[in-house]
Amino acid sequence: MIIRLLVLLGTLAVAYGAAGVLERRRPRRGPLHLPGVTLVSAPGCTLCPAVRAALRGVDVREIDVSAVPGVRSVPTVIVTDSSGAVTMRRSGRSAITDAATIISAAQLARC
Amino acid sequence: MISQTVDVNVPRFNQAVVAVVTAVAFVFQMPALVGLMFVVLAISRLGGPRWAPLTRFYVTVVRPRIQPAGPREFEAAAPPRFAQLLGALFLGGGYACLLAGWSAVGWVLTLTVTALASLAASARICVGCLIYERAVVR
Repeated sequence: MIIRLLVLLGTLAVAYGAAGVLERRRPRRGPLHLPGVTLVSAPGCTLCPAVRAALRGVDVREIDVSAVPGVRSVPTVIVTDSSGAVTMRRSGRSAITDAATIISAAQLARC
Repeated sequence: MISQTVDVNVPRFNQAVVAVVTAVAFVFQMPALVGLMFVVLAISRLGGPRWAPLTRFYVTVVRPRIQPAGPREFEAAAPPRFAQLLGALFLGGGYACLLAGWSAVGWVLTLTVTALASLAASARICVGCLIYERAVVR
């Protein structure tokens, strides 16, 4: 049984190691790396209207979750600066409660 | 009608249970648990969320205790469903191999599911979802 435990732990270690390497090598491009504020939504997203309302006055680009590899939660708000780096990311209710912080981050990202 | 979004914790709970049960099956050499998980995933995939045993358990027993206000975060339902299908296929293949006496192949397939389900549950790296996004969406 000890050998089987070691095999199990080894398998998990290889999987986590490989995932870490792949995650670091994943290219940083796509719609989320366009400068500005992006709202990732989906049909039937119950919180999305509240996020839109909370971010009223901010220029928000909205895209469907199916078009964004790597993002699966909706709503997700992502702030990207002019270099294409993601400076803030909030999902679920925190996209509403942290709206003021998101707006500040969006203003900073434009600088 | 099957929902297009799902509480993010539902797939993670499913993946955590699959990871733990298949790990126990391997360590204690209990192929019946592999078969059980195959049946659970197959029912979930064929019958939808209404008939999914682990989803029902999470929604009726676990969620009211840890999130009484309801789900806080949602995700697209299609990628985890595809990942679930892959998990069911691997576990079905693994169980068939174990029954046929090809223990090594059966356990390799089972441990693959264990590792990927564990990754998805703990680190939110869902390989089946990534395959779906690359192969199906593009």
